[in-house]
Amino acid sequence: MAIGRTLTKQLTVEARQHEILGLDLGEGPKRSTIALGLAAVIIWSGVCLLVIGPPTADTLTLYLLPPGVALGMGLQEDAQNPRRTRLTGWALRIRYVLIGHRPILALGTTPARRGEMIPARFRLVGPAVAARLPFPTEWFVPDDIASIGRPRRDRPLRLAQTARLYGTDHLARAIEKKAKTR
Amino acid sequence: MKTIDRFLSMIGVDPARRIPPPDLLAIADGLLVTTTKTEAWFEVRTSNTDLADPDTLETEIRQVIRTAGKILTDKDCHLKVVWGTVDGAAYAEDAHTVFRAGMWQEWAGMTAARIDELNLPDRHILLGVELDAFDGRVFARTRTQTGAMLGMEPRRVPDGDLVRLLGQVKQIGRSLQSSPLRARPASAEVLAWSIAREQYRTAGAIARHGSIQGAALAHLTRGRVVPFHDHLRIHGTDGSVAAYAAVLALADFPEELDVPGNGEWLRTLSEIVRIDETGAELPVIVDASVRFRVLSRQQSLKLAERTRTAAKEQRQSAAKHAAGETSTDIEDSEQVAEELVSDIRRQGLMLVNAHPRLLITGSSRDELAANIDAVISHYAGRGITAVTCPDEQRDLWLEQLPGDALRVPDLGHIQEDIAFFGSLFWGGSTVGDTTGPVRGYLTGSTPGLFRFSAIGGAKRGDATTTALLGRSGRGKTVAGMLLELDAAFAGAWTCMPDFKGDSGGVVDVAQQLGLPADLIRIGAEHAGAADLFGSIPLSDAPLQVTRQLTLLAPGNMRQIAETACLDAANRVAGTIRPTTAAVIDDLTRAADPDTARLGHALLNLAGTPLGAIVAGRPTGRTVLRRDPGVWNIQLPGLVLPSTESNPDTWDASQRVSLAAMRGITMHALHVSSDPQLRGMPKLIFVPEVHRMLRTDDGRDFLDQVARMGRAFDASLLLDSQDADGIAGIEGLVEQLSTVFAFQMTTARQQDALAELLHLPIDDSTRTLIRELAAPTDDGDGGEPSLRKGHCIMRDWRDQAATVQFDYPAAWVADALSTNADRTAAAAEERTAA
Repeated sequence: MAIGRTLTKQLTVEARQHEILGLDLGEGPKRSTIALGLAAVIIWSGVCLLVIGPPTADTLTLYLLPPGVALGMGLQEDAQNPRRTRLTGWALRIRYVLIGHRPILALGTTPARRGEMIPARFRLVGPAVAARLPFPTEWFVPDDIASIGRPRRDRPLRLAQTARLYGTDHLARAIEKKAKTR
Repeated sequence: MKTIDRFLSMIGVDPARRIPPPDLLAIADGLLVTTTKTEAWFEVRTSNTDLADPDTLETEIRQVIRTAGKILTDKDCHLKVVWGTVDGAAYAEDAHTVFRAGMWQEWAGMTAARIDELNLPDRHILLGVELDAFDGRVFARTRTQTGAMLGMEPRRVPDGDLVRLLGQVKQIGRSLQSSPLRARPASAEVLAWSIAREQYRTAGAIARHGSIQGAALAHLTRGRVVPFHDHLRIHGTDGSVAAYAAVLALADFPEELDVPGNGEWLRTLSEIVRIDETGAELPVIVDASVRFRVLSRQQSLKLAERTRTAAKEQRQSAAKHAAGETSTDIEDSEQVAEELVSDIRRQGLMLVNAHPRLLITGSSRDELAANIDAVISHYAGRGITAVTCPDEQRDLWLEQLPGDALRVPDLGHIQEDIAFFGSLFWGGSTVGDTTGPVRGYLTGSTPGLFRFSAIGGAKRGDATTTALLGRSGRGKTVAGMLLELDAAFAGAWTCMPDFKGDSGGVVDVAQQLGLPADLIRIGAEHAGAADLFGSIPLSDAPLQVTRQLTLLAPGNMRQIAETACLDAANRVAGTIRPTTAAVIDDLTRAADPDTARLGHALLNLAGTPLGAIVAGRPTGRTVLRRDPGVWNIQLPGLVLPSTESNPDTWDASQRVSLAAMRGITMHALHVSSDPQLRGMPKLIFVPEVHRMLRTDDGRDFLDQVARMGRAFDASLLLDSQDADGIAGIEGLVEQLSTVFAFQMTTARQQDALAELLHLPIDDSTRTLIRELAAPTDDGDGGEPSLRKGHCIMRDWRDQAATVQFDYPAAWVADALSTNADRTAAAAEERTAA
């Protein structure tokens, strides 16, 4: 019997930072966490700076708490996918709502028109979220959504893409031609 | 922008997700060109691994790894396992190359309809390898802008580039073809079908070579796919939803994968089933798409070294600080990386970076959900975590298209070469001929049809004998009759000495379908027809006639029979027209009273209707016709001894019956050597062969039958319940081109079958043979019934796989039934007619 190993985990070293500016951090946080935390604090601070001005003793919590909580929750393992964090799930959700829902018509050569898109209210509230809402959610996730994505017949499709099939006869001629020119 | 991209990729939203869908420029045999990349595509042939022993399997995997190490390293590869359907119409269209006699169109048409009814999935394994010789981006940019202005065809790939790319395809193809993958450049039809299939999810069959028209080509990329939160809706050409699909990722693998075992994660795709509301098992059709890169020795070393360095740095850093010791994960990484460096350097181990995805479809949301559950459960049972990927179905769907690229890199795996190639994506079951009559379907891990012609060996110049071995009532005789009908429709002369009286059905079917056919009942008018002096070469005849007469001799005379008969037979052989009757006459005239008494005893037996056939005075009337058709011979009054009985206890009727059985078999073989039949395919189906093996000289007799069959270019079908007896006849075993092994229950017979099938003689093979024909539950709550016709086939290429013989139509099944009631009813009908 042959045995093969999967080494994904072993070959992915999550480096930890044991010290920052002379401060011993013990076990130390992951370096990726520090980078994400810094990015989150910078972005959030930028927003706060614009809205409430520079941080003061009273507003410092507002500056640090939301990115801290978001990072704390976001870096937990995703319940559905053991390879990912919740943060990835949130990012993908946002991406889906914005662009990830776009229909692929004729392999992307034809943009979908308004009526062919999944309406925003369906995109915003997925079935998992809708199931947790304390009120009827038909409006968000109706039973009958078969009509979504149906082609609109008012305008013809415009296709730029054309695939060309080269048959064996053409290829044989091309090879022959090439051989003669040598 | 780069910083944002790095930040996004750190949280799992890689910028690769933004690349546009593939813009197809050209498709040719083995080649796919888009504006961004060029790929060589190959179709991988299924290898017969289902019944392979672990050592053979490992050898095969190592061979594939060596090939991959030679030609695939550091190239982006894309493996696709996709399913079409086996098309009955294609079989009917090609039937004229197989059949030519009687109403063969009807026979092929029934089989074609049955193929459609079976609705068997047809697996295609496609392997794409990125080529780097053609920069489609430069091409598209310059050609589409400047070329269009000058009125040139902007999307045409220059012939020079095509030829260069085809050269690369051939180069890779040569190595792949000589490996166990036996891959050939995928035809343009296969590539077009594969692209269109993703767009419409209509499985269908691949178009025949050279049959793609403009409309079909234009159809390729007109699909409409709408990504919902957790699934995709694929619309048909009429705008309605044609299929619901979802792409799953295999997110986690066990650290160790065993082959055979849970390591065969791609081979087992076709084994996924779900239980419907009625409790019936339904197959779940799952496509696989794996983008992978075989890392070269340098790249593998670099990765291992990098990991080792990082882990070491972490360990040292922890030691310097309050942490003291690093985590066990880091320690493990350092140790594994060190071992890897050593293995890569010393043993040539390679690493593979793979991104496996599964594409599941359903005709409704509920069916899709049930299929997804079945897939997740199937892989969970093997320790593999398959996950649904909400909010990224669009990216994952695009990623699995030929010509696209890796979009979701964070769900990939780094595996040792044996772990990745141990997935056995090319494994499964395949057996039988590539052309010829469809005689049933495969029951191994890859569904499909099996083709076999019992007269194929003679055409190949190979051995001509096929054996059907197994217990009584497991469908051997009916399988033989189906093969006889196939041969007859192919224009062969076929003959079946019917010793049990249940072959009338095959004649009825042949007659109904316009084949010349008759059930010949042997009577007094055929006296001497099966005289061995007339059937076998004169040099062999005295010995064989002696054996025949010794068999006929009463038990108390057997001591002298052999010497006396041989003496007489030798004398008679020197006469002008030697006959067995003349030998008996010679014995009766002997001076020795015992010999004369033996002669009289034999004379009495020769006077019986059956005895007359082998030892009577020849009437000169032939039994068999010499034109193509189905000519079965029935011997009324045949009383065959039971398989278990002792030859010493046989009575006169049993001895005469066995002698008649031998005589008729030889007679059929002799007729097949007739000059009129030369150049015509011939098939003789000899049932109940095990009864011939009960006597001491039975083995020699069978050996002679097989050798004569080969000499006369006549194909033989031998049906026996005694595999052990057959396996003991070395000469016969050498003549066996194909073996069909049906259920056996004793260890001795199972071991003999294993030897004939060239399978390991061990418990797993014994269990496999015992479980053939295991009772199946029809799902209606009725009594489970025996699965007749289920067997292991070993073909002339030495491939073995489990197959199920199948009837072209229900009425044929009814007519060929050897069930006692059915046989009696058919005989009555025939008499009345």
